[in-house]
This record gives sequence, C-alpha cells and structure tokens, in this order.
Amino acid sequence: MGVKQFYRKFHKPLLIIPTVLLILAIFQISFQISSTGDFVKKGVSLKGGVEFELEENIDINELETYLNQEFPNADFSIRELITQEENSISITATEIEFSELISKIKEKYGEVNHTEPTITSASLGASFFRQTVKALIFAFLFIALVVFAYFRALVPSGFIVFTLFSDIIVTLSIVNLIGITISTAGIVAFLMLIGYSVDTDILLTSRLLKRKNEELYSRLVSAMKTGVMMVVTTLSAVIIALFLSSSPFIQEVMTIILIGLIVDLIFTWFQNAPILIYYLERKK
Amino acid sequence: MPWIDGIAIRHVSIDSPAFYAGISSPSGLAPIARERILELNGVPVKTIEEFYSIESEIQEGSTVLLKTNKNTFVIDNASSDLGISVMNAPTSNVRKGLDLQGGTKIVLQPVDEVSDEDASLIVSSITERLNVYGLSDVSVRSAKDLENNMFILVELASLDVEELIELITSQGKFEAKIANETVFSGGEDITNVCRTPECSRIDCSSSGTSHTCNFQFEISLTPEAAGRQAEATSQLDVVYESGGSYLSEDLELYMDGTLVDTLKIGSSLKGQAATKVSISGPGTGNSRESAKDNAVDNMKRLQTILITGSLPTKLEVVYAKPISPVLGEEFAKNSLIVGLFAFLMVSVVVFIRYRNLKVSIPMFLLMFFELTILLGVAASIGWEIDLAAIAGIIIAIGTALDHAIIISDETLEKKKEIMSWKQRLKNAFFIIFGSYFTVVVAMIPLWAAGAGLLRGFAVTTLLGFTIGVLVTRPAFAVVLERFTEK
Repeated sequence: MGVKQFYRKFHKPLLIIPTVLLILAIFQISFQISSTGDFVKKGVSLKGGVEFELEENIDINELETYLNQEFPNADFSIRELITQEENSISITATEIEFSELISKIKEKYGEVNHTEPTITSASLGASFFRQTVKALIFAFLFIALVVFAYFRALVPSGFIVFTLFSDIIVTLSIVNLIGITISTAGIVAFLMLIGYSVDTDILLTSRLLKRKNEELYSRLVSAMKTGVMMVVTTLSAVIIALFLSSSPFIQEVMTIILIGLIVDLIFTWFQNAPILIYYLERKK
Repeated sequence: MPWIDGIAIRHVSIDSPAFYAGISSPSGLAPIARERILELNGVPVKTIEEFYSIESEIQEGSTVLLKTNKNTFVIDNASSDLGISVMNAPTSNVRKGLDLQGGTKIVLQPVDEVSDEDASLIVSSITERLNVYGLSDVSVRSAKDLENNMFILVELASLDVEELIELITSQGKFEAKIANETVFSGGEDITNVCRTPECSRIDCSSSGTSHTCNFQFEISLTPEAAGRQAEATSQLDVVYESGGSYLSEDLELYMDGTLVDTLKIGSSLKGQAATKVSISGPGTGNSRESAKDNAVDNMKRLQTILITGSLPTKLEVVYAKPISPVLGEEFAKNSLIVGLFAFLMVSVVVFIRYRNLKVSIPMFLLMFFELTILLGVAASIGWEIDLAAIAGIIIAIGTALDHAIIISDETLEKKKEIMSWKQRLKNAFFIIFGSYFTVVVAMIPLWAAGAGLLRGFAVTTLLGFTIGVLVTRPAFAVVLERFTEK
C-alpha cells in the first residue's frame, strides 16, 4: 500500500498514537512535579552546587556512604573517571558549599589532591532556570504569533502550535524517564529543538495550503519526502556528534535533540498531517 | 589554514622571573601576532605539556634561556615557576572562549543594589585590581539578567581561583585609626604604595616545623592625611615600654572592619606630619617556600587593594568555573573532528537522496561557506567562540542544509503544471523566511537570560541565520539553477 492510500484510509486512527503519547507525557510530568517539586531533573548548574575531581585512589562506595551520612540534605553523584594516567573521581554535589565539603573529605582522607571546583550558587542556578524557562515560553509564544501572521489562517496555525507544544512535552517526559539531568546545555537543546520542529511543521502546512492545483495527498507525499530528508540529515549529524564528542555539554545537547527529532517525526506526520488533512477535507 | 606549530605566550605575571627578564604579556594583539615560544632551556618546545614538564625540572636559582620567534631571553634566578602561562599558538584570528582555551570564569553579584554607574565603577575597579595584581589577560563586564539583577562577569587566563576570589570580592575599605578615630583611609589619602625592594621586603623565620614569614612595605600619605595624623598624635601622651618610648595609643589598621595590623607609634612622631607609614603582615605555611609564597600573596593583595581603593559594595561569588588549558585544547580539537565527520556523514546522506552531483555539490558548498562566513564575521567582531556558541553554529548550519533541501525539492520536482522558477523559489523562501522569523524571536529572550551565560549561543545562531537568509541561501538557489539548467 502506498503512502497516499495509507493516509487516505488511516489518517484519523493514526491520531491515536500521538494522543496517547501526549497523555502519558502529561501524566509523567505531573507525577514528577508532585514527587520532586520540579518538572525536570535539575543538574548542578540549575540547582546550585559544586563539581570537581578528586585525584586520589579512594573507594567510591565508602566515600559515597560517608558523604551521604555527613550531609543528609545534599545530593551526591560520584563517578570514577578512567583517564590515561591515574584514577580520578568526579564528584558532583548539590546544595552544599565547597569549603564545607572539601574539609569533611580532608578530615577523613587527609590532604587530597583535587581540581579547582566549578561553583554555582543556588540563587544563580534558580534564577537562571526561571529565566530560561521564561525565555522558552516567550519563544514559544512569539513563534505562535509569527506563524499566525504568516499563514493568516487561524486553524492551521493552531495545529502547528499544538504540534510544537506536544513535541516539547513528550520530549521532556522521555528525558525525565531516562533520568537525564538538565543543565544549561539542556535548555540550549530545547531551544534548538523548537527551531527544528517548527521548520518541518511550517513546511508541511505551507505545502498543503498553498499548492492548490495538486491533489491533497500528492502534496502530502512530496512534503514528507522533503521533511523526512531534513530530519534524517540532522539526525545523522547529531548521532555523529553524540558519539564522537568529548564535551559533556555537547553530549547533553545532542542526546536531547536526538530524542526530540524522533518525537518530532512522530508528531509532524502522525498528528499535524492527519489533523490538517481532516480540516482541509472538511473545508471542501 | 597555515599550520603554525607550537605554543604562544598567553600571559606573564608581574614580579616573576620571566617578567624581570623582559618578557612581556601580549596585549591588544590579534591572536596570530602573539609571540611564540620555540625553546626553553635548550630544549625545543612544541606543546603545552612539554613546556610545563621542562619548566618543572628547572633548578632553583639557575639561569635559563627562553627562545621565541622574536627574541632570546635570559632568565636569571629561575625556578620551576617562571610566571609564564602558555597556550596553543593561534592558527587563526578566531578568538576562542574559555571553554576552548582554558581559564576561569567567575560571576559575581553585588550584595546590595547597585546603580548602573556603580556597576561600571565596580567593573573598572576590578579590572584595575587584576591588572595591578599582575594579570593582564582579563575581561570584566557587567550584565543584567531578565529579572534586573546586576552581575559582574570576570574571565581570566589564570586558574588560581581561590586567591583571586579573595582579591576581587573584598570590598577593600581600608582605614587607619588612632584611639578609634579614623586618621586616614584607603584611596585618596594614599599617594604611593611601595612595591620595589627598597621599601618592601619579606623576612622569614622557622621554629621547628612551623614557618612564618613577615612582609613589610611602605605607603606614602598625602599632606592632608599626614596632617590629620599629626593632629591625632599631638594629643597623646608618651609612655615607656620595652626599651623605647612610644605614644599611648597605637595606629590600628583595619581592612573591611577587620584589624589587620597594629603599629606602635614612636614618641618622636608626636605631632609630626609623617607621610610614610610602614605596613606589615604575616604569611604561614608548611614549608619555608609555602610560607614565603603565602606572605607574598598577602602582601600583593593588600598592596593592590590600597592602590585601587574600595568597591561601592561587597561582592558575592555566584558562579566559578575553571577550565584547564589542556582540557580546553582537547575540546577544541574534538570539535573540529566532530565537525568534519558530521560534514562527511551528511554529505553521504545528501548524495544518496539526490544521486546527482549537480545538486549535491552546491549543498556541500553551502554548508562550507555558511561555516566560513560565520566564523569570519565572528573573528572580525572579536566574538569569542565557546561551547554554547558552537551549539549555535551547529544549528545555523543544520538549518541551512534543511533549507537547501527545501529549495531543491521545491524547484526540481517534476510537476504537472508549469510554474516558473521564480514562483517556485518564492514558495521555498516563504517557508524559509517563516522559520527565520521564528528563530529570531526565540533567540531574543536569551540575550539577557541568566547573566548572559548563553549569549554566545544566541549570537551565533542569529548571525548564522541572518547571513544564511541574506547570503548563502539565495546564493545556493542561484548556483542550483545554473548547475541544473542544462
């Protein structure tokens, strides 16, 4: 069965998939909010805390138990890093002062070698998070305005905005489920995602609305060819970057974009396309 | 790109062996023009690690030769810390941000509300403090975030975070009091702070395992301040103790409300307008070396604050991020490799889809030119490339390619009706401009969000998109037309 026939027959039931995903996503996020107080898992740069490396040969489990005991309110993430020469232990701790932490460590282990810490104060982290979320919301609103102004058709523009919204929500919930901690890199990734997602939706809507002389489903197929190609090229670059990059910042950005692009594929072609088709067919 | 080998001088600390040998810190030079190190102590040096490894083996007090591409320097009284920090020789004029070069980024927040004038006063005071302290490769600016909080952003090549934080954040209110009356204070009352060997020195003594050193330096007062001091001392009595005659009150020196030194005033100074005052302080450590270093640090910090005066308000560190030069270099190299492989991979995908070199080649060219123009513009406006900026570059190029795909598909598709090339292009560009405007508005809030930490991303994305829409995409359309005309 060709793509055209598939869509002709199944474009309405196809909507079930994205709708279910969206509902599940909303559940996940609500659950996350009620159990942790935040809709994402925040990293040090958004919550406040310190990150540094201990260049010593210390047992990680012992260290972790000790630190959790001494600082019950702080969150610790301790990993072993295998570099060329020695072992180093990467310590990330939220809601704690570096001087307190390092003196407790020295109490138990003596004079330890450590790298200079990256410090983010809780107030800066919180204000940064607040402001970037605001920035994301504003970006979203502005985009909605631009889209309305551009197409001058309320309903199709509404579909684009709705698809964009679903994209972000579902990506967010998947990110939460996998357990990714969001740092400033994560915020950057979501912004990039908005840009990429809106491209494919504008492409789809523009093709279906403007080319009046061609049959609806042919327009759809040609839009899909272009749209899928766009996502595939971006995906291939993102996958390469994800596997080859040594920077945690870039890795976090690429992981989120990877998830987001796959979600965008589903939502552009299983949600935006079907409802737009339904709307255009009703209009006739 | 010419492959320039080796390392360049990034910065020379004042009062270091290298400084006395006449080696200067680069300032205001375009990156490519910086002085490059060729040999240290007779051994050719090509990498940062090599330099530091050779440096660490220098015998204390020996004389070493440093050969650069401009000169050969004789460094006397050398030690394993020559006071030179190095970086990879820049091969282009694209300025690398801290993420790629190494250094420290510190964000400070004033404890009290400050006006815009106060903020620029703080910026110039901190810059001056860091310069006087001996650091020239510094960048200090103020930034407001979306909630109107004021921040001071400091970026430096040095990695001695803790030491520098103390220097930058102390408000620096210096006061000298006799019998609880302020006689003179830091800033205008002090005309000179001695930093040369004639009127400053360090004495060390050890007893068993504890080592202490004492620093001492002279400051000169204005006649008015000296006069005030004379007035205060003229009212005091003379007392006799421990074999000398002194005045009944001491001269107490306070920094930010904490007593840092107490000086006995010789009786001969009663009523005298003495313009020179000697200030001393301690330094401690586990070894004679570290005690001496500590004394030097304390002396330098005090001298700096006395020279530059106090800040309008106390500052608090809200963010500090050190990046080692070795790590920074790794990120830079790694970014290039990732970029290359991504380019290759995408080219393969493009070719598979279109199976036509006439279409694929313009696309490769598009990506390449977009990148080059973007970096060129960034270099010419002196914009620093950090990791966030790289993310912006990625999205700009990725979307450029997406739009090239839109243009190609729109114009090349065989259609039942005859639409002119122009009309098809119009359709394609309708989509492209739509996405352009959405991105522009999305980036605007990022300019100020969170003390501008993500500004690099916003700038490169906006730049990339604007160049793309105005230059590279139309260029692509034209090239495509030419190539596929036959």
